[in-house]
Amino acid sequence: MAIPTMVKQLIDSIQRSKVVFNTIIEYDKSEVHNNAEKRQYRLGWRDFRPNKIKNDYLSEFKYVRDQQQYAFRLRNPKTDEISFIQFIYHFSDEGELLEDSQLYYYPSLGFKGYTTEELFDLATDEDTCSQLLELDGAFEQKFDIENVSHLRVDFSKKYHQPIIHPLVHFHFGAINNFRIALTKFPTPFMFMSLIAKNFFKEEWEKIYVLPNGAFDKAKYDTEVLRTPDIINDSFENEETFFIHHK
Amino acid sequence: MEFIATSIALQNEPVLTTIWGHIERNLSEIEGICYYKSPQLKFSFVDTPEITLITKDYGIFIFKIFLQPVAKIRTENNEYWQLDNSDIIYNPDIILQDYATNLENKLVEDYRLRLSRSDKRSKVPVHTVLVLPAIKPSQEICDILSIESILVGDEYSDNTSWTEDFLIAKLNNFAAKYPEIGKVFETEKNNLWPSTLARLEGTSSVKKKHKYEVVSVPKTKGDLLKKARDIIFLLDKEQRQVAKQIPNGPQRVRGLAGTGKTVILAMKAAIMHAQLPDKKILFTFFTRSMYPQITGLIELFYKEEGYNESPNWDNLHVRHTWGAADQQGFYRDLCNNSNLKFIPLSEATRGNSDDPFRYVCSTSLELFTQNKVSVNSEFKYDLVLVDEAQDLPIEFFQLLYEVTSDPKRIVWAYDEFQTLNERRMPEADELFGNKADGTPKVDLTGEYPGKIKKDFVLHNSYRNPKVILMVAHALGMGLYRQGGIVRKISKFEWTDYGYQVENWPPDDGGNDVVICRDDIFSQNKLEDYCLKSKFCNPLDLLSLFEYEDVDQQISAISELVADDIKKNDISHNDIIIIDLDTRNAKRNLIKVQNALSLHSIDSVIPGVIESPSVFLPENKVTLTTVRRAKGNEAASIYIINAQKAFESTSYKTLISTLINRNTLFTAITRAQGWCNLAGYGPGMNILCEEIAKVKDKYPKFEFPFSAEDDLMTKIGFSGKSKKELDEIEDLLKKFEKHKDMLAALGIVVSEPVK
Repeated sequence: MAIPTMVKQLIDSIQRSKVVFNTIIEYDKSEVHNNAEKRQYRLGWRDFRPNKIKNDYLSEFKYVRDQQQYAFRLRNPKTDEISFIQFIYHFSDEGELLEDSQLYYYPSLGFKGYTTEELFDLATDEDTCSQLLELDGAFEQKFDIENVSHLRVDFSKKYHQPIIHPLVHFHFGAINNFRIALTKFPTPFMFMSLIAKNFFKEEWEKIYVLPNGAFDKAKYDTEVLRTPDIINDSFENEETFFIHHK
Repeated sequence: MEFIATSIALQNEPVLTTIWGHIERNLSEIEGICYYKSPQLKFSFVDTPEITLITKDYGIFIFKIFLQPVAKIRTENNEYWQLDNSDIIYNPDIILQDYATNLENKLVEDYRLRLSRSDKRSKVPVHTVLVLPAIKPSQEICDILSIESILVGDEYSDNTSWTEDFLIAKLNNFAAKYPEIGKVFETEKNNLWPSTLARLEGTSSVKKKHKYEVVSVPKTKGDLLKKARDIIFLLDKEQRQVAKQIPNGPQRVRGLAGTGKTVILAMKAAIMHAQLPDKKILFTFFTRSMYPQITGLIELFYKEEGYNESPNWDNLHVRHTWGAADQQGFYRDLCNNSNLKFIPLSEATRGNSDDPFRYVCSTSLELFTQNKVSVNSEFKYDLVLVDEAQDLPIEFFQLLYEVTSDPKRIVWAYDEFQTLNERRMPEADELFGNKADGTPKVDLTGEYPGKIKKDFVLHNSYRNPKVILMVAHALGMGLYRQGGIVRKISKFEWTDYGYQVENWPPDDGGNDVVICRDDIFSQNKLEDYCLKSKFCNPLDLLSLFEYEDVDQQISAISELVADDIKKNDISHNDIIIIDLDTRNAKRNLIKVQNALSLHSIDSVIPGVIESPSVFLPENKVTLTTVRRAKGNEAASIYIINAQKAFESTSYKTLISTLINRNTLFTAITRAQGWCNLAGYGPGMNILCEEIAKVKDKYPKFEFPFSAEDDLMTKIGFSGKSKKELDEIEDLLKKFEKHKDMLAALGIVVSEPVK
């Protein structure tokens, strides 16, 4: 059976993310799951399980990391820290209708201790180094973390109530009852682009800033405009991403 | 008959010792095991019957010995006995019968030991005997008690009560009473024996109940693996002695990889905890990835002792040696419980960059010797079990000594071959140091009361197929290395490692040394089935793969792993990929992860991406370095960048080659079934040549005898710190730079040995 158009567009969007942001995406676990019997499609990741821990970012991060509950694992080439992207799209009616969807970004913990590279510098030879790595928990200061929450965009038909619970909304931190309404729902590429611009500035600039230092709007528009629509019109730039709550 | 005295010597009870002596003298030829107060079956230590004889030919005999000196027993009702001094006690025969019922219930948990679907009695006869040594024999007493099997006064001390005839008579009696059981037992007793032992010794749960069907003719690697795993795990004699007995002092356990060290230490912890739940026990080890394995085993064995709940982890501490902010560890606990200041790793590394853990231990120990440490009085252990002791500095053992109550029950298990650094495992006296009078604190000569040995060698290797173990030994010791053996071991040590020395030339040379691996010590079932089912030649369990470069290697290995999973029916968590290129391991393993992902295979890199304890999770292949793989095992091992063990271009790396050979040994011995060595470059030639020689002479080693010292001794390796070796390296570089000038002076600098 042919893959439904919307699902195919999302797969393309994932592929493009991997090509464009290849210096950031270290590992791709994304997967398309098709339940033929129920005429449902799910875009997510291999070994998908619903999120459980949501009240303590350190535990939440570790859960996502250790249980590999992510579509992309990102690595910041500068700090060597890892972070994760989750995207879940549930389709019904043979992939023609988007039922609900969430996009998450789990920023790195931002340990204020040693990075792996610093550890290697500390050690005088590889054997000691691997021994040091074994002891990675021996640092007290390592548990001073900078980032304390995930970021999340939600789309839910089920809970949708005009004004009260916008169809598409952005959550502020991990606070559940605060929703910033959005006009459209981002594709994986759009979301990835937003994360890259804010968290991987140098890598993003390598892609969208011209040698003379100017913003390469043409490239940004082309790439972003190629992003297919899921809910509404395509995003032209970030400004239309957020709207005021009326 | 094997005799497991457990803690009999601690009871200091002459009557018990006499009975034990009778049994030892008269029943030693009988096939079976004689336990003191074991299994405990959730009974209190006092109530547990004193002696349990598990015999193959006559069934099980439980002896409850009632020591109280009484002249007469009066009974109001059957439940209580009134003694001379008008004390009222619970009828010990009821306790004995309750125990026998529990024991029988334990047996019939295994369907093989049940009489039939409708009759759930045990096929193995369970006999009970009440022994009343302090009561004079009289018809009156027997009448009052109306107990069939009773030994009173003179009878108990009568030698004939403890002979085979006595057992036969009891069995005949039993068979007459329950002819259906007697008949079944007589015909099936040989088949019933392994299950009986596994049930009563608590090993039957080690084998997981599986949902798959075990096929008789294996078609895939997976089939073979399932068949090999479908066996009943039984303790061997050495393991039983270590696991079941609590020594009255320190004890050393040596054994190769796969001899079951971790399993029996876990069993020992569980048994002591079940018997004496208030005692403080510490189980400690270096590698954090071992947590799930160790806690899992302890829980399992504890439940086998009859408990449904988890062990009380407040009294049974499982700790790695350091500790982390979010995880307890011995060193962290010690600091929390004393006035010692926790030294962070940064400081420890400045103190001793080679071995930061040694630095924290020695710093703490120094304060102990200066009497500057006050430890919380509750921070004392009654039993300390140390696994992978070869990885730990001596100062650590001395710290353990400080926090262990008398009589210092510290049990340390290690494999000399697995040292990942330059240390050789020190002897007990070096390990613990001397007392004020100059005598060693720990002396391993002699035995503890109850004939409990102080020093054990476990000979049987269960984990590795023979060819894998032999290749690991040959490479680790460099038996076929051009330029000489790396680590030489004595004739005596070869025997300890489970080999038979067929020829050992005199010191002035002569023939080759010929050494043969005994089949009886290689108990790997997979190899066995491999042979029996003609699935493949056991020599093919170890394979070599040579590639052009690292990237080709990674994609090819990923394909092999994908084949293992998709075609050969092996589970994800039966596979570990070990990178020997430690420095680039992170980069390499992420590449492997991506390559596997192309085949839709998930993998983890514990300690690099995931937490170190995420080791061998379900449905994921584990990618790791040797240091993290230590203590773990898997059916199929892939070692990538194996050439690293043979790359030596300078004097310094020659030294690390010694370590690398050891590392390679450890990596290879992780394999329960298949070991695949992959690599590229010139180092691979050496590896291929040395392995070819092993396979050529298999199952023997034949190598020229050399009276010369081995490489380790030659370069004085064991005594030098890394810093000193660095200095030597610098010096040699300078020599090389000015070699022409030196040559003019008549000093020749030879090329480094490769």
